[in-house]
Amino acid sequence: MTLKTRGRAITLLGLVFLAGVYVRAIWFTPVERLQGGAQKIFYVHVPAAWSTMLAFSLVGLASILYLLMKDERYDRFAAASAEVGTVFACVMLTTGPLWAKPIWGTWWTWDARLTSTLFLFFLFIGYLLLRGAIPEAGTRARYSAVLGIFGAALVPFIHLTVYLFRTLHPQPIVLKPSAPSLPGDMLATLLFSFFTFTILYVGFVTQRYALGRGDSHVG
Amino acid sequence: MWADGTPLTGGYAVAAYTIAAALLLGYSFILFRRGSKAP
Repeated sequence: MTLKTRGRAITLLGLVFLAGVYVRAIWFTPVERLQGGAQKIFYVHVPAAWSTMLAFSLVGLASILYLLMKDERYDRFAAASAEVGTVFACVMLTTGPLWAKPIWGTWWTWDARLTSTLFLFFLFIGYLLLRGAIPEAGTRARYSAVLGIFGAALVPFIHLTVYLFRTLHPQPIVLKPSAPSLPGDMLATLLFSFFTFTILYVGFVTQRYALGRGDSHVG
Repeated sequence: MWADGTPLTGGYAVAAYTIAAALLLGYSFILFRRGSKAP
């Protein structure tokens, strides 16, 4: 089985699981009493944020490894993970305001969490544009790696913004030192969605990495 | 608002779920197409 076929199979599995997440979240997970149906956005928004941060963190790690070892496979992986992370960031940044409007009364607020996340998104748009603008592979990989490391350095800062600054955004309810503060049914749906979005990330990156390999052979 | 006091905010969830599915399915389709064209 080629890498491309494996990536397609994992993606298809992820899409089937995504349908399962939708069914479970809509029909088999209780409606939150204070927020109503809008709270169900949680099961898409939070896992999308998780996949975004995972993707951009791995861009940083792969970029460090590229600069240390000069192995082009790390650069190819970083490019794949950056593109996939940007797609998940689009999901996160569109579902967030749709949840904020009925609960906060506004689509957007310029607080530390939201602003730094938007900045991260723009940084990786810049990363992808930089990759497209440099034809020479070695230079492109080196410059992209430096930008990718700076982008990934934002990830822990974004996680901590809800502790460091006054913000409307809620604090973590699962990824925190103490036990998750969520009823069992809701937690099960959330964990299933985390798993699904991780599978989708792996499928997308595997396919994108295989494409990148084809590109480099052509070039 | 429902009779039990739950607010009617499901429309926002429908919009969010639709956009998320469109983005993820759309990107899957793009990758499939690019993969089919690649040598």
